[in-house]
Amino acid sequence: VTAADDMIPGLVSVVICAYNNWPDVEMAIASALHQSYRSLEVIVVDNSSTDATPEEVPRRFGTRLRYIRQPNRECAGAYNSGFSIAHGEFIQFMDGDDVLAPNKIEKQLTIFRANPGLDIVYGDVRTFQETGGAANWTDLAMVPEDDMLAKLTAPQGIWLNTLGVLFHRTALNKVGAWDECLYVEDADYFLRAAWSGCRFGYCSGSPMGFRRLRPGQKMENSSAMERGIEAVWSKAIGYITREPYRSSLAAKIADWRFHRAVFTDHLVTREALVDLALARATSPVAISALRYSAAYVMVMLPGGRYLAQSQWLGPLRRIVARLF
Amino acid sequence: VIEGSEVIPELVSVVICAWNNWPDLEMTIESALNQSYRPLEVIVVDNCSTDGTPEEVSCSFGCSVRYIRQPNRGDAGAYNTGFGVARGEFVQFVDGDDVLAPNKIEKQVEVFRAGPQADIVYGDVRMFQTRAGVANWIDPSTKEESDIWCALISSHVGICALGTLWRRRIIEKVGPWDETLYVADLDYLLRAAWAGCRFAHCPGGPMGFARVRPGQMTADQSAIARGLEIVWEKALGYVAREPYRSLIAAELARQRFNRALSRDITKQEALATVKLARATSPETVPAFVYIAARAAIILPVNLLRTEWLRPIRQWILAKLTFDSPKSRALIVRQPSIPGPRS
Repeated sequence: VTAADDMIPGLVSVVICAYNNWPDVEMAIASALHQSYRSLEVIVVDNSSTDATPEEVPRRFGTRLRYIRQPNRECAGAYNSGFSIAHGEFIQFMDGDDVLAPNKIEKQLTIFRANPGLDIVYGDVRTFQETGGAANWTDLAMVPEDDMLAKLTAPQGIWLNTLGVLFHRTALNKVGAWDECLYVEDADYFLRAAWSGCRFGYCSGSPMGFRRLRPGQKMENSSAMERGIEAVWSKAIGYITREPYRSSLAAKIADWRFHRAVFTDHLVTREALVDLALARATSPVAISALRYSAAYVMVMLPGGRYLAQSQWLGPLRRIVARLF
Repeated sequence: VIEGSEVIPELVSVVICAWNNWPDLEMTIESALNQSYRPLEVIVVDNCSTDGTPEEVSCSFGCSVRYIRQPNRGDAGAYNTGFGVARGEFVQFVDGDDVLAPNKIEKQVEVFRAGPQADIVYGDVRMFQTRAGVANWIDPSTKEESDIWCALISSHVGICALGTLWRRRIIEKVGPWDETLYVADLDYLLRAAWAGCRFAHCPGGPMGFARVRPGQMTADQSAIARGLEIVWEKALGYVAREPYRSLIAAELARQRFNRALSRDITKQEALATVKLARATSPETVPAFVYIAARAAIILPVNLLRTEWLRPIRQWILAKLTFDSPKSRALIVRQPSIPGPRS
């Protein structure tokens, strides 16, 4: 972590994680270099890309940015390396696939200036697709939150997106390094930030950035994402000791496991039963004995999970759920 | 139009049409001002906005943009006025809702430099939604076209004002944008192609982000369908060369046929329109399709307007290839709606 005397007040450091995404990373860099806010430095951390990134980035941008190449340590590792040499009072982390809105930094700094106690400002992000075709995603709407920790641990909680967030250096010093062992490092980072008492501010209005949807992206691997998110929450249950956050988080994990056991076909019967038992053990409140035994029967019965998953039985399932 | 001596080589003029789209306009102007390419000038033409636009633009941007306020003449009128004062060798037209990619101009000027004979450079545009929710549009993707005419008329090319960069000399050749049209950009592209412009493709990431606003798509679908028809009718008036003339006639017949079977038309109008469709291009609307359509319109049970039959209708239309992908793309991607004209 940079010593405080290295910090330049008012400066914003944009840390971009690049990993085999030339030429997309070119647009990411251009969106960072050409912000309406001018006091800005750009740091590109290349996780050992094997494409044109190492030649093209220094050739096209030269001294306008700092380029670091390192062994692949995923986004979290790139963010850690980038932050360790950043001089900014404010830090923007972004993936090399994504694009910042031209006035993103300016808009969010206005919020920081108006509310000097804030550590993190977040805003909306919109999705776009790499290749043409039918759009098929849901953009999430952010709103101002009084209790971010409650929202992040609630079973029907919210997701913050790194692209739409601007950090004050104080937040990063409070939270510490990004966890390089996790698959979904941003969910972990925001949970830890909320737990360590960071104050969150909301920046309304136009989108803060555009997130790229690409075939073969990390997000596409849904079973790995599920496992990754579960790992984040299991880690969180280890340090979130205060109620009601702890029970809320336990219910969230239990729901997640229950859902995976019954409503997906990622698991064989034996694994599903283990998950089900684990769900009940995690939060007996969320997974009542009745719900548990009904699910147990569903999983055990041949074709039972098909009944739970098929689209056209949806209305029938809702009626049954209401009876309980 | 400005004298040739006032043109500044290398300069790019970005002409933005503003009409009651503050604060969205702010990001549009920022995306133009903060391009990776220099030199660049930004001209904002305000079609008499009644919102915060006049105060906010001068307050936020001062003399970094040229601001012109005029009576509402639609986006075509704004582009004409903007071009009238533009001094750039290259011109970018943008609607006040949309956002240019940060390196859009740089990338497309590179294509101009690599191929000095090109007149218009086009690239992909991606849509984004103002309000969060489910995305349900189709993003067209552009590619290198060997015959730009065929591409503009009959396939899903997705060329629009936002994704293109124009050489000044070609705008002078094509003439002003047609201010009487509802879908002005397709008309302008068709006229540019007719005037012999050479189109070059700019590959790579999106050149811009087009905003999808609530109400924008559904509310004006019929107006756009009608607007497209007028563009094709106009094109038939000046395009004499085959096979382009037949292709345009076929596209116009499809448009008319689709409108006849749409929900927002009376029975009499529908019959007249389907007849017109057959007259426009008998090859596109063969006799049996024509008779079936008439029967469907006349039948007392309103098969064409029953909501739950819609998937079946869509399937039949798709099978008959009457559902032109281009019309769908343009229906989704409609620039600012011009106000009432005198």
